Amino acid sequence: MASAGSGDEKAAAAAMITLISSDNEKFEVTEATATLSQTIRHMIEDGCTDGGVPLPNVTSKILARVIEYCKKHATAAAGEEGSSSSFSDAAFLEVDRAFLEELEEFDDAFLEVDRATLFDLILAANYLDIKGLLNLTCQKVADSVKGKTPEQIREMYNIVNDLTPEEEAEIRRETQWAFE
Amino acid sequence: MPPGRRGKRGNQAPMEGSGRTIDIFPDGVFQHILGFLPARDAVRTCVLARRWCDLWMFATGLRIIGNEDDDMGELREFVDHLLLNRGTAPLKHSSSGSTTYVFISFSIFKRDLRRCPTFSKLKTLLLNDYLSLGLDLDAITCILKHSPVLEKLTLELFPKGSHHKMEIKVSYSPPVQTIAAISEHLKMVEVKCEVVDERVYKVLKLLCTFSIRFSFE
Repeated sequence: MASAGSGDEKAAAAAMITLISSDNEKFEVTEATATLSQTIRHMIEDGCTDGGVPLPNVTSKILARVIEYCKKHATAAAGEEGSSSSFSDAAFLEVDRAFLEELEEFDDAFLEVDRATLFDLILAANYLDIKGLLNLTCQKVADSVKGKTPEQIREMYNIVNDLTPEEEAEIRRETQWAFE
Repeated sequence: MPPGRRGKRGNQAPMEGSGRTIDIFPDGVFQHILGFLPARDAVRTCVLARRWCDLWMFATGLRIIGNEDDDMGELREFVDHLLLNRGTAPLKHSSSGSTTYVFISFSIFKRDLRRCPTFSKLKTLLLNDYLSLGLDLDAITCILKHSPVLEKLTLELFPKGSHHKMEIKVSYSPPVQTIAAISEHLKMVEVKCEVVDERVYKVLKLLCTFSIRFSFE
């Protein structure tokens, strides 16, 4: 069970949601954590989360990582709301900045995964509609192809070119303006 | 995100296993990834394989970033081609909640702005001022007047590399009688800067003329 931290006990009054992975493992998380996923947020709004939320597209390994991300960022969101009223207070700004830096470090470390895991995280973020996680992971893929030639990208990601040489030549002619 | 136009790839299969390639992604994911690439890199993916031919046209973002040493004429030509070829594909992706960012480097584009295009689909706009030369009042005025559905405008008025220290959030409620025609959908303007210097002051003053009121929190 991935939850049960002291932070969660404090919020015992808050609603808990059970997420069930494709391999039938159960994860109990706070509503604040779960609703970083728009997909789950809509389920909660529709009142269909009793008995747990089955996520047949997400394995326990990936779901554990996704929850780790959501917990961290849910705390961040709560912190932001809490401090905005004290915006003029320089001390609060300092705390904010330190926390943002910590969050950035967390994100960087979070991305240190092998490619298969990265792909799974992207699929899960897409399916669960977790904007921050989708942006973070898609940005990593984008960074890896930035400035590369089509040949290099095909090789990196095992993309099979199914265009005939004639077709490819024609597309290149049409988009010559982007290859200059 | 809805499945892609050719989204036949097993979305219901459990997501794990070795030897899977990038092909497992639905089109929506590719379009999102392409939105993070500089526009030129995004367009060049069209020759990767059949599936990629027109993915770039539906990228959820458009990043046009110029450098000081770029040839302005060449860059302008590139942007013309880009916009012409994109055709009428909406910039905002059809999926719920995804936002579109257009990154424009202003020292290069303010001349093009004089031709006053209309940004008919633009809802979210971030204007950075990394080259710290360009973003001028005329450019902001032009954008505001020609973005009929703009909801959120962010102005970054700090040099590249530095972090902004100040954030001025502004909410906008359209006056009963609109003085200058700007988007009635505009909900939020953010101005990020290091210090409120003369330039920032001028920008804020300009926003006032559009009945955009702001306050420091």
